[in-house]
Amino acid sequence: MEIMRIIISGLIGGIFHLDNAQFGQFFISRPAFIGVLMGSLNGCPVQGAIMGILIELIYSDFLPLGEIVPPNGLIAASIAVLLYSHAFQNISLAFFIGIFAGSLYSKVEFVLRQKRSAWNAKMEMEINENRFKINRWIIKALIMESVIASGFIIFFSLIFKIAVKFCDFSRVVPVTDLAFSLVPWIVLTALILKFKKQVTRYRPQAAGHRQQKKQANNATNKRAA
Amino acid sequence: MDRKLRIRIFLRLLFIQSGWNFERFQNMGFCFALMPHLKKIWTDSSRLKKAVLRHFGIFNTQPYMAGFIIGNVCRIEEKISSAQDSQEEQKFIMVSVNIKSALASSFASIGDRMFWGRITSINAIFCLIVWILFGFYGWFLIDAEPDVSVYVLFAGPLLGTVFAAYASLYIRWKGLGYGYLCGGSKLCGLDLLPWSKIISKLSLAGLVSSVLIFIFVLISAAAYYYKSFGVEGVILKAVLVASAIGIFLIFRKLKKSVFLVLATLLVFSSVVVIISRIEGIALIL
Repeated sequence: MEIMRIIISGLIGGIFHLDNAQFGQFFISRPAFIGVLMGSLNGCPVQGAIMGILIELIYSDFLPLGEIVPPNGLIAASIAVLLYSHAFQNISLAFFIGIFAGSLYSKVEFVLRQKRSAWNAKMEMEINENRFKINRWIIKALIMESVIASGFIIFFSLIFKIAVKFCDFSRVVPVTDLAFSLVPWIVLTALILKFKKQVTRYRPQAAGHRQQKKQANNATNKRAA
Repeated sequence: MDRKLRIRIFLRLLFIQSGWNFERFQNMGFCFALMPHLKKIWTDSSRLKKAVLRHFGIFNTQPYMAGFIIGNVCRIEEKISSAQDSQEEQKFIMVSVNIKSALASSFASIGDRMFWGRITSINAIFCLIVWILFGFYGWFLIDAEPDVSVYVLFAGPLLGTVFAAYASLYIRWKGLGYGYLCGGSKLCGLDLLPWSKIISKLSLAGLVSSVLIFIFVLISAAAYYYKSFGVEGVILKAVLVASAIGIFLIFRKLKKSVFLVLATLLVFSSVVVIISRIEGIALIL
């Protein structure tokens, strides 16, 4: 039954993963939402919400600019919730492993994007033969992303579900508990610093505008005098 | 561009990032979105082939802003198809290539700063504000046992999601129409909204709300620890929090990744746990 739940959650995670980059990008794949959703499916919505929002705030430090593949918040939140619900019953340990899984998935995504580069030549060949089947390649990309994300969530969760039977994780729990209790303070500080940097970056520009206006006013006053 | 065609391109625009690859970035999604328009204006398959190949090259921009560029390109393609001679056609083709690359980088810069840099974080702030208003403090008082309804938990992230999804759809739809209207101009769409003003307002809103949340969390946590563990509990927690923030600030100054901060936090926590197990110190703590 538990394994079935992991598989179903993984499949749902794979579908929602499409919102991350492949289709729409309506922000429904954000960790805060996925955490609550996966938590509700696995009987721990509160823990899902806590882990989800903290993962979202940590990952908001990474921006998907240009060729950068940021860590995947959906994968991190899904795995964290599944590990909490079906392996550890400890929020801090599940959270840190989820964070690790999310950053590991960015490597998988990197490989997928590299693989898709090879499709360009094949597509060009098709177009040259007057076959305009771009939608087929798009569907292929969607299925590939979704299946691999689902597989990753299921595989990672199952590995730790098995590992918990052979390894004693209780020794590290006090350490992860303490570190986890300090995470909200770090993410809130990071949030303030991020916005502070953005605001101060605009200040010199605004000051420049004010100075220009002042100079223009002075010039008009002089002319009037 | 008629409404039906605009809706078709708009829906395909939602797939702009599908097929993202390192060689040519969003080229597959771009061609996929452009296809209905190209098929409409190029009925001859050899000319359609040329047009598709023309747009199959490198293309990369912020996905929500791509509408401006696609609208623009649709208009230029129409001009190419109605060119009087090959010289004029070549001229429009050059315009199309130049404008596409110039606008892609300009809109990428605006979109990245607005959506990835601000709105994603403001989304998280929305979520925190909703949870705070409905009395869910479990995300910062980890040891407290929260009692909260699932609806409140869903309401937090959904509010921000609805706001951001609406903004992204609005910009995509508007961009497509506006891009088509001013197609062929290098500044097309850059003057639609006061982008810099919006971006600086978003930053300010983010800063003010995040500072307010921090102050609220600080006061609530101090009250909770005082009630549960007394003055000693508050002092101990304050020292731990100050140390964690100190570690974070040092790493931020050194421009290190947040993962390194988390790893250091785990090392720091293990040191604290080991120290707290030494009998004499445990008593003091």
